[in-house]
Amino acid sequence: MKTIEAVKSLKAKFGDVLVSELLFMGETTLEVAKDNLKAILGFLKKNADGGGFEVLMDLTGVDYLEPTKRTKVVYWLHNPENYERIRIVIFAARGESLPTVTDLWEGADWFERELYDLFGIGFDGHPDLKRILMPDDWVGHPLLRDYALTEEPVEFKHGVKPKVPSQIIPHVGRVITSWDSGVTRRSP
Amino acid sequence: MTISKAAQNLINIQSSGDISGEIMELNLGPQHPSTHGVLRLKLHLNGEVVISAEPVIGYLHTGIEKECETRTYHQIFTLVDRLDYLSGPAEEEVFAGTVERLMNITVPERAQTIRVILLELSRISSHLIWVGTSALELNMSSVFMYCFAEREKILDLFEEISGARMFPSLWRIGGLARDLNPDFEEHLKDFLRDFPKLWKDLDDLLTDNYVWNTRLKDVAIIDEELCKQYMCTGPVIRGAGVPYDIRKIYPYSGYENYQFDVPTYPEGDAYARYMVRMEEMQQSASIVQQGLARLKPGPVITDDRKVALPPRRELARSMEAVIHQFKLVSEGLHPPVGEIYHCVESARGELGNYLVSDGSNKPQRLRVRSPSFSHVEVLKKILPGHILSDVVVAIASVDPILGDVDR
Repeated sequence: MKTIEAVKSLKAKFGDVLVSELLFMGETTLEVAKDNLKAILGFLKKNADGGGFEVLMDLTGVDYLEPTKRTKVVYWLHNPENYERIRIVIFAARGESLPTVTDLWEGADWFERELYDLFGIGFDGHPDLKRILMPDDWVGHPLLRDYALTEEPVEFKHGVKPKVPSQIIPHVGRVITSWDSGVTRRSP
Repeated sequence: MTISKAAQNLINIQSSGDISGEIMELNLGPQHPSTHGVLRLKLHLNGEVVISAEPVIGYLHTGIEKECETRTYHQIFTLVDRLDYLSGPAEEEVFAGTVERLMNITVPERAQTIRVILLELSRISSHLIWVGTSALELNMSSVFMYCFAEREKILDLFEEISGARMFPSLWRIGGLARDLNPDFEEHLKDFLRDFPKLWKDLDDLLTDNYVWNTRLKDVAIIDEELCKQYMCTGPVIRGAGVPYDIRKIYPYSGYENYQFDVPTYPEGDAYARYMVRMEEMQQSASIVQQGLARLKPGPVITDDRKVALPPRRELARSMEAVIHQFKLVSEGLHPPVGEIYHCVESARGELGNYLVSDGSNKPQRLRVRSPSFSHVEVLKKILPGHILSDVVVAIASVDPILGDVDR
């Protein structure tokens, strides 16, 4: 089933549940609310009337500081029959948790752990939610926009102090600069 | 219904009531030559049989996705190169392709053809390393030598055109940094003449080899259903009988103009994946051959001055060119606001970039959807039931690159 038909049948089934709908460069993006996230993903996965988006090709997040501090979680679904794709997005406020999709796709396990690790999003019902890329005792979630990126001077020769002290990498030339000022170094 | 060796092992353990016996926890890696990098596996063993396995990753986490948010679009090429360090060109192609699609840039024909040639060469070199290291793990060190000697020739070709051996960094948004050397085509023809001989040697050494067959067949079976659950792509899904190849499904860089087959094998075991990779090398060589025939003189980068640097010779004469040069180098280009997903077929599977642009000169977010991530995840599902020595084969058969897994 084509993506456009799948969206139609989704609307017929659930009524007016989409927060927003966007078609950009041939990619359909649907924004949904937390309450019906699981129902909509489960519906789209079904082959009969949902569109057969059986594969969760990617699951990731994008962090925003404006208008409020929040993270967009992106489900990128793939139909293995006709290779149509659809993007489902949902916004999660800081510290908010979403329902897990590991019961729909077993492989979502690690993707959700990565989201938890790098964005601090919790997943209710996840079998083993812990850090995956960063060390277990790491403080903070690195891909948040207000997490400062720092650089460490490399000591090339033992005992010789590097000339340049540790510093925050400046964001020179960024036109939209919302997080340059006021960042502090993460204490080691 | 036939039942795999691994499932049979588990059934034997359960029926003998042996499971409550002594369970040993074994850490394989992260510093272990057979884990292809720094992958750590927490294995629970009953005797020699794996009861449960948990891959632990993150030892090579470099934070490149975070780093990309603070770099201009041109600076990112050298960063994404280092993710999948055995096929850097694929990483460059996917990033360049993403930005080009978002900005609606047309890449000149010659640049597209050169890109295809380099991509396929890097695929061959990546598969050669895979065959070589997998054979080395089964103690066939001569195969390893042959493969690395042949890969050396590909690296020499990369060095000739760009000066760098592993990461050509030749890609720019809108085309390529420079044209090929005059001798390059000649040297590439030499390589293409010799490569079938090596391929034949590998085929003779391995395909009907008794040890190779018994060690690889019926090991680490990943079927189509498991591929769907765990988002497996590339040689893994083609080894499960699904002809899923991005080059055919969502053609990029002019792949629709080339004739090639997508090899599939239905068994889903390590041997099927080996056969897929071997045939892919032949197909890649044929694509390079076709690319050579398609090479026509012409520009290698778009003439859109808002995207690509003006040629050197214009700088002395045109003030406008100087301004464009200055703006592009100091500030970079500005894609429109929007988000886009673009994928290519790397040597390991679907390699995708999800780019969110806020209209500034640096990406708001660059997500790299790496194929190896899913392929390492699926290990926890397929390893139970295998004996310890088959674990090594199973890891090798999905061909994980830890730089790509940890990003």
